[in-house]
Amino acid sequence: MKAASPRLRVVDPSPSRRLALREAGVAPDLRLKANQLRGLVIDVAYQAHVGHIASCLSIVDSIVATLSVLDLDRDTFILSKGHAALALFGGLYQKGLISRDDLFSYCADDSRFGVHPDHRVPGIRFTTGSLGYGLGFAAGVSLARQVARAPGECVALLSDAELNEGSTWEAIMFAGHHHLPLVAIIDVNGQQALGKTRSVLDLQPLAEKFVAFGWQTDEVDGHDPAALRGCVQDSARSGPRVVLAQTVAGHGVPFMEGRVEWHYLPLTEVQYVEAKRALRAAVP
Amino acid sequence: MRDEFIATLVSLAEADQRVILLTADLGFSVLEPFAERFPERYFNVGVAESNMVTIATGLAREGMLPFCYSIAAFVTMRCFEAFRDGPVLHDLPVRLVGVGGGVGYGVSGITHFAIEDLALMRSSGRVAIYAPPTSSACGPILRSSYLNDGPVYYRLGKDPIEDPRLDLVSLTNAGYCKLGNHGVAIVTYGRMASAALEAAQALAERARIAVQCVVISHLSSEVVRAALEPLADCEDIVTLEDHSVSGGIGSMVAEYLATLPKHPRLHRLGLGSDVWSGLGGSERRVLARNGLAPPEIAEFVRRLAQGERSLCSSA
Repeated sequence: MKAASPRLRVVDPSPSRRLALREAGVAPDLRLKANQLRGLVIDVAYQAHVGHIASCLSIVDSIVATLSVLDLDRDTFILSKGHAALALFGGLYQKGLISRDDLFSYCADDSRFGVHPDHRVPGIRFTTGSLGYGLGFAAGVSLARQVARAPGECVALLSDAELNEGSTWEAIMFAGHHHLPLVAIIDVNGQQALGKTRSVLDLQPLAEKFVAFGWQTDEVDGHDPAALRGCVQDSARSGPRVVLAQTVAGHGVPFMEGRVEWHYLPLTEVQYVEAKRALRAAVP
Repeated sequence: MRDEFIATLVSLAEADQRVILLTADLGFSVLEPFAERFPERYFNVGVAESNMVTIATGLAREGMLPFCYSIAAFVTMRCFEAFRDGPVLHDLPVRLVGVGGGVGYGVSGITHFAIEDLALMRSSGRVAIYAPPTSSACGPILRSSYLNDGPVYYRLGKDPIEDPRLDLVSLTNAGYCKLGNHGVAIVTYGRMASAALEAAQALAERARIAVQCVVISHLSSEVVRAALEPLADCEDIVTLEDHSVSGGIGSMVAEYLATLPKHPRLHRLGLGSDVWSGLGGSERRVLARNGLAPPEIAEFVRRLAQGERSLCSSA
């Protein structure tokens, strides 16, 4: 079925393409940035003694890829899965939009940098937290630009569990009907607050659902920043596009990977040391 | 009321390219003047009120002035979190236009009654709320408020209604108008204003009882305070609304009066348990069943004025 649909593309992770990207100097740079961002997430979360770490590690590559493409003065990035804001704050720090002090004020008393993103932070246009609104915001932004014939990209990053929310599907329908030129990245880590998505509320077949709603659909390794960037950047295609980023919650820290409890837990000192060691060993 | 509102919106949209009208698939024979004049700025989002408000948030973030049209019950209750986490939180100029505030959709029943909308809309203190009392008040009130920086809720009646006794200039500029100078005070808004005036006229003509009516069009605590300050020496204040007695004007007046060292006694008339009974009927019938038709209002005030201090309101 996948092969039969012209709208569904499984992005080629072939060695030759990877090699070409590496030769162009793109992939190592992004991979290094992603590894650094994972380190920042671990450092800041450990210092703040706050959880949601696995959700952040899951989207690090998408954040790095997307922020490498967008000009946040003109373009809009919406983190619909707001509970992973730490990964976004780290990305904004890497991009020079917020300071190191800002980043390390995460979850401190009176800080603007909490568990969820706030629209008064530079580079953040929408406050999120309650799930299911990011794609509707994106649809409104895209519609405004269509009406005003104004330039600018709009990318929203959603969790797969946000597809449980009916409001997300309302926005999917609307964007498909109006052929809005936006990009949705779905962090398909297969995990949600109380279990695996397939046991809570099965989303599959996911790609086919988007195709049925009139969206261009890419399936891609969600831990391959170069491939993710290629999908986000693909301006040759019009209308709404979804990037189904196949990810592992907690990616990069083996003891967290795919484990539901890391949706919540903060790090102990021993775990912090172990996490940092794993990330150092994985430097590309 | 709806027609006047949309006619004014069309004229505003002529001059202001930012005005966009969204509907959640309602407004047959009402929205056509806008849709035909500005097809590129008119969007029927389908039966998806929450999505309408979220999209409007994105539109407003990009500098547009979106108006979200639906039945008052749907555009306030179905969308409440979307409105709160969208335009209210981001302080954006999204306008909710709710038609049939109160029990305007009488025969449609409780699912179509907006009787908690004011309670919801005023609870954050960040939403400007307007309830025009007549059809002809819609235009001036919309014109004077449409450039408001933040979110706005317009509570409209469903059917046309006129009352030449109301002072449009005052309603538009001060947010309220007052008729009469002494006697029991009735404080009201929206389509109940003409019922209050009718009751007051009947009392004056048939029982020689003076009533002063305060009609509020901009439902803010500041306007309520300004409107009530001259009533501090009054013995009794009756609030009258086609809304639950909790959370609407009755509560707003109570909140103000409670700050005074000595204040008039308050009687709240509004919609009570009857609306949950499943009994049907026209708007007029539902209001009458809840003691909110002019004869019932007049009888309540007559007994108050004649010293029956033990009266209890429908609260």
